[in-house]
Amino acid sequence: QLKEKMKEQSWNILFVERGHGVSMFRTKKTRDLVVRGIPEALRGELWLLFSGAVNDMASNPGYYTELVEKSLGTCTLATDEIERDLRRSLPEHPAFQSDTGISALRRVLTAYAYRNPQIGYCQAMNILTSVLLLYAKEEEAFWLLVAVCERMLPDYFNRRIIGALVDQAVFEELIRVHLPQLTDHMMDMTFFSSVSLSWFLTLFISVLPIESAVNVVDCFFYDGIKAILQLGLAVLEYNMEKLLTCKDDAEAVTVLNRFFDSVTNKDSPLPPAVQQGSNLSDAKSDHPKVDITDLIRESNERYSDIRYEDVESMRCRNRLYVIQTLEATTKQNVLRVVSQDVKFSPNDLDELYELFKKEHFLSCYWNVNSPVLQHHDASLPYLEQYRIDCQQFRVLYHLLSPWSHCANRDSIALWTFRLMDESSHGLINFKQFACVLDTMYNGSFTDKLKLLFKLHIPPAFTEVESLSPSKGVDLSKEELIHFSQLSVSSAGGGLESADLKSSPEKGKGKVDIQAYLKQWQDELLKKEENIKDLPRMNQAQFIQFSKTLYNLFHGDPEEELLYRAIAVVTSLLLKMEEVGRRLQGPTSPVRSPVAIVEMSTESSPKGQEDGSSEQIEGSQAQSSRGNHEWSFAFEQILASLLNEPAFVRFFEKPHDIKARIESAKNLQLKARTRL
Amino acid sequence: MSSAEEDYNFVFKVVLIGESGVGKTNLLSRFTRNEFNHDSRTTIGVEFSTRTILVGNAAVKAQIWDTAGLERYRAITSAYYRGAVGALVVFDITKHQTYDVVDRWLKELYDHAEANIVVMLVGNKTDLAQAREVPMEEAKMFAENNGLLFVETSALDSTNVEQAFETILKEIFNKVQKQKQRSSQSSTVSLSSESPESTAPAQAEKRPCCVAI
Repeated sequence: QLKEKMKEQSWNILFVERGHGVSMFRTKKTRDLVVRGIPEALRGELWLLFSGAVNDMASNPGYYTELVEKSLGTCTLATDEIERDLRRSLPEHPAFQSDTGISALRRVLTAYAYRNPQIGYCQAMNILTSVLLLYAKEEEAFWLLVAVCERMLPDYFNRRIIGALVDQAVFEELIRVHLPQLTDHMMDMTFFSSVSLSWFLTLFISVLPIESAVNVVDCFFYDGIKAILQLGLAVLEYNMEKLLTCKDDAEAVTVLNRFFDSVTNKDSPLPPAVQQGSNLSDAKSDHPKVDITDLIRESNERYSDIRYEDVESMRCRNRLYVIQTLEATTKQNVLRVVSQDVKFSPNDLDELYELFKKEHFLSCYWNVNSPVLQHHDASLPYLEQYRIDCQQFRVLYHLLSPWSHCANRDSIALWTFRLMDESSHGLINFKQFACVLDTMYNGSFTDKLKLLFKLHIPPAFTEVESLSPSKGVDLSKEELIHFSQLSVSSAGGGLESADLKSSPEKGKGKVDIQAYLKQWQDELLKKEENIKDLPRMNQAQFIQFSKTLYNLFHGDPEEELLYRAIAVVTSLLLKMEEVGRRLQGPTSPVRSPVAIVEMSTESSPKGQEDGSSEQIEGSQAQSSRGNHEWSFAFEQILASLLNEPAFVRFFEKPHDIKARIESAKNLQLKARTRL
Repeated sequence: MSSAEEDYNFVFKVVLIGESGVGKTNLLSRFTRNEFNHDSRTTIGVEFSTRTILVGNAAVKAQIWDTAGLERYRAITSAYYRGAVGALVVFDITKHQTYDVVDRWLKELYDHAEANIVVMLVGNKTDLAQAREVPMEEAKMFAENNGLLFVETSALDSTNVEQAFETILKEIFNKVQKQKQRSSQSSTVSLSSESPESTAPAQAEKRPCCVAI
């Protein structure tokens, strides 16, 4: 208590000599006093002064009160998260064991989230604000929080806590310079990242006993992030010997936790707060006590050559590095997951990823309102971070698909997209993209045919000509978007039916348990997808399927042979179907008994082969009412096609993805302008 | 005293994941220190604790990492999953929302971790049975369908906490034993796809895990 009085006296002398309030000079004497720990009574005032919060508050009278009025009672994700954390902020302190303290904390955090929706609320802000409230009035605490979040710890609490990562990288750089022995011993610097994250995010409050932590906060408000960096170095140096004997991260963490628990503040007039046992604190700990004032003084003297300007330039340098690292991690994880499912070489897959990501970014550049941007959220799982819409997929499809010479390639791109976009978000991720391309390049004859078959049945298949009969096969951007979002009734549907599309995890609020379970069962089923489980293909779909085959074969050296093979196969299939139906009568596998009635109106199999437009339109009209005509199972089509060696040769012909990737890299930008 | 001095045959790294506030930190403290703290702070970044138990005749040191549950910390936790051979995905049986997002946590886990990681779904806070929102059968079925172990616990009254950790450690132990046999036959299989230096700690007998420092 005496010491506290002496400290106050020293400050009062300083105020007389160097001025009080905003006109105060920062001198060596000031620093010395801060390092000793600011007296309890002056803490709030000096924090406000050093941080500049005092100016903000003076120039915005009434702002906080107004903000509290507007924000209280609002209900957002941020307020939910705040509510959950109010009693988990500084629970050991008496001030937060009553409603008074909790309510003040709630108001400050809620008001801040309302002021700055970019940040909203992030865990760690609760702990910081609690400490601010111990020494400052509510409105002052708010302005201190503003200073911390918006100036002193820039970008710390936003969606990806980039600012904290940047300062960790700066910290690592400083370790390399000042504690090279440690760097040599640690094979992996990421250890420092996991362990020091809370040092930065909470200014050591979450690791140190509270009566010591407030001294760190004193230095932080006076010196900014530099004080935290210096202290971090001092902590590591103090424990150097022990850290050098550690064999793994876990041991190192244990060493540091024991150390933090042994830190005391012999000057503090407060009774030692009942610290919650942060990890592994045990009574038998024989760690010698370390005084926080000594530790801070040492950190200040040992690392006094770290200048604020240097820290700023290191921040700039490391910012790029951090973002690149995050990107690299994303890529690495995506490739690791996807490579398990495809036959592409790692190198090709890597190139495909870059093309995919570039396509994603091109749309961000050209179209601020693209769904891609609207859905972007860096905290999403890696695979979901970069996705492309139907429009972008078409570009990549044209550039990369071995089937892109097809006259109806836009339709095929569209159906392929619809097949992949199971959630109907209008976006697909890299895994879906790579897998479908993998089938086209590396799939077996059956795989490729199955893909083509699935493209021509719902949910992938949709009529596309109807809107613009005058136009050619190319689709306009609007058409593409329209068709890609068209929901297909599950008329011919089987496995991939509509209930998969309304997958419950997408819905907000309460989840329908049954639908949820059903979705999981469906997904399990899909993994073991059996040829037999594929729905049958109806008349219109089959005609389109044959047309696609014609288009696909166009220009092939064996074109003639292939055309003849299609003719043979289709007429064979139609005959089989007819015979089969006559034999089985009404119990035939055809989906509806009405089919029998309609059989008479059906056109002859021979006419179907030519696929004349008249008949196609007729069949479309019918199929829109329901598929009551003949239909084929995948097995039937597969069996018939396997009979024709020309087909097998065509689909087993290898394609060179490398060449396509190379040309795609050159053409990607141009392809965009052309569309 | 120092954990380095304990006797153990295996070190298994296990991670605790799940939404903020489901009780991960208290599950950890209940298992490693037999403590429960009504007033525990929000976990910032990563915390960690160990305990050694016997599985058969082998002493297994469980190295359990606890992490912040808040969404925006997720992007940075990839180092946290490295070398993990087990994961407890925790939800709060009295808050359906924490169960709804289990799916996302699993995706995240499989995004980062080795494919053969042993995963256990843990429904915590059974002491608040009167406020239950997630039926046990439902969670159990979900776990079965996804090949996860499942248990309901209460860190507060200790129900099943020991059992949860013991079960997952045994399962990991068995998996490692099998892996060992197989790799001694073919001498090519490794538990992880990474380079030998950073392979899963499970293989390291008498040698602690993760990244050597």
